[in-house]
Amino acid sequence: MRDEVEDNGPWFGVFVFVIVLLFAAAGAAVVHSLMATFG
Amino acid sequence: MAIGLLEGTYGPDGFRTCEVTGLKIHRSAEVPLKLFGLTAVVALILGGTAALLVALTRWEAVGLLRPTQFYKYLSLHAWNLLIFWMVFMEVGILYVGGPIVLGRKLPGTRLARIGWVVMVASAVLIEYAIWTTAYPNQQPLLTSYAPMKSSALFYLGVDTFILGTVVAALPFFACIWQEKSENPNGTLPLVTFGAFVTGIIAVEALLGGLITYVPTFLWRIGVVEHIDAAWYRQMYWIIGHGTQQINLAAMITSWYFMTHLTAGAEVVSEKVSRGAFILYLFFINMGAAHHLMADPALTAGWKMWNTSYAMYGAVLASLIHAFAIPAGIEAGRRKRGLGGDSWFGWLRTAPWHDPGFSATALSIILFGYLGGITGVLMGQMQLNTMRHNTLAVPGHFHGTVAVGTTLAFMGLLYYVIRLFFRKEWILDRLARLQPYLYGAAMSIASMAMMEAGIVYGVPRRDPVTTSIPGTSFSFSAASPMLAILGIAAAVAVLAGAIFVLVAVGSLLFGKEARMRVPVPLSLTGSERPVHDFSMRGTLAMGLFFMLVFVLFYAMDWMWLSRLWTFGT
Repeated sequence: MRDEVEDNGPWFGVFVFVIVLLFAAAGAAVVHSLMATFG
Repeated sequence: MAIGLLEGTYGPDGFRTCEVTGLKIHRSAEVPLKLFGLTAVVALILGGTAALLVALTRWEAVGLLRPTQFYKYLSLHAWNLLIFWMVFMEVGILYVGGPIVLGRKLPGTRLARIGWVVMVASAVLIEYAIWTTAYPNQQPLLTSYAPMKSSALFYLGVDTFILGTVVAALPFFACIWQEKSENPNGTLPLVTFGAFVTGIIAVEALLGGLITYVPTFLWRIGVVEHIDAAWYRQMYWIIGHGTQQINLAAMITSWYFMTHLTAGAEVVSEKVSRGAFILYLFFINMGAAHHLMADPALTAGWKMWNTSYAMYGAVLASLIHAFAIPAGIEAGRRKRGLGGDSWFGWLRTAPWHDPGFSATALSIILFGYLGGITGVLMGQMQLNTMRHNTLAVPGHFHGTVAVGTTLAFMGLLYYVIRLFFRKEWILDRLARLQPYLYGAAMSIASMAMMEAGIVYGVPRRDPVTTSIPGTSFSFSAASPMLAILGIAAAVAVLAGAIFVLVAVGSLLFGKEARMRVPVPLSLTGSERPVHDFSMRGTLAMGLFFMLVFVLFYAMDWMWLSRLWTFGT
């Protein structure tokens, strides 16, 4: 039965890429808003 | 063709057994489920098309629509996506959570069909009323705030849509009644329990809708002379936010169902998860009060009790689910021997190639970070002052509904196509990519709206903010954010179109499905109880989430202390 478990191929990498991209975007937004406040 | 799609092969008793789940599925439940799912996709197409036009108008460098057109398409966008796409899906989820999970017939099938007909006719009436709105009537947007007058047909359509939804939900409640009558000491499965809580929240919201919209209709046709604007606002949000609470409960029910179906998740504590659903019953309706934070007709005490006290009962419930579901994936996969013993092997080996799982997982993560954190912040009276009526508000609810709920429902529909329509997905690689493309683009659009609203104070619902006629004042500094919004929203609409292409194409041209899920449900693994297995990976991710939560909370208070100089 174990061999019927599907392999996820390269898609975990796609997931990690999307999460890193979104955290980078959120980080950039925070830095931008702090610069707007203090800059 | 359409009728053929709705049919299946059943035994003489009307049941068939799902080869994947082992569930006994009766025709009386499966046909309406397909019908409601297909109708929801039609609403998704209409609302998504309007979304593109709205986004390309708020990207003011493009400025696609004139203001009069803008409000028409904004109303169509809101009603199709926030109401029709969601509610048709949610009735379908009730039929999955009730008769299909319980292995029963759907009692009162005729009521389900009557409800569907009334809902579709009402939706068409609302679309027509919005499309043909002309002075002195105004576009309703989602809120249709009285005493601003919209078309009488609009109010009539809303009333009948609510009634149709109640009628369509009745067979679900009858099914639960039959189950409990026959098994008074039995416990409902968690997915059924979640659907039942969703149904109760829905009834509350829909009754609130009738209390609001029946008098408003009577006022609009002249039977009632006066309608109190403050009364309307308070009553309206029973359904205005109530419908979003239905989305939340239905989405979380879908999370439990889909993570079990696709990734081998288990429920690590039935009592804790059920307790969290019950917390929603008592407290989530209070969340509606956060829409009235700046309302002059209500006291500060009323606002604070409903939001800064009672609403935290619902926040606690959400945090419990946010831990319980990933912990269920982690412990369930460890129990099945998947991913080894490392901290995150269970996550690395999860079925990220499967759009049913990836859409669900992205929904859980992105809903928490984008919709959840900002919802708590803006649900607090003090912090709300920074966001009220700015573009940050749509930024928040696109994080909840457009990212969280829509992704969850897309993931569910991928498996409705495979397990109920029994069709293989066409354009397989595009289907695998679609949740990532949609989740990323919609999240960036959501963040751009939040940034434009919080940093620059760009108003919501206003198509012209960077070159306001008659004044030198403008929000032009926010133009880059509006450009990011426009581009990201266009990509999200493209990803939505891919979903529709795959879904409709699979129904029309898909091969007969090879009935399977990424982790066979027959793979039970260890005999030890699931809570014996480590959940340390989820704990680490949960602590990181709380750290981000605290960070944003602290920053918001810092910004509040600098409110009058902020952004200058």
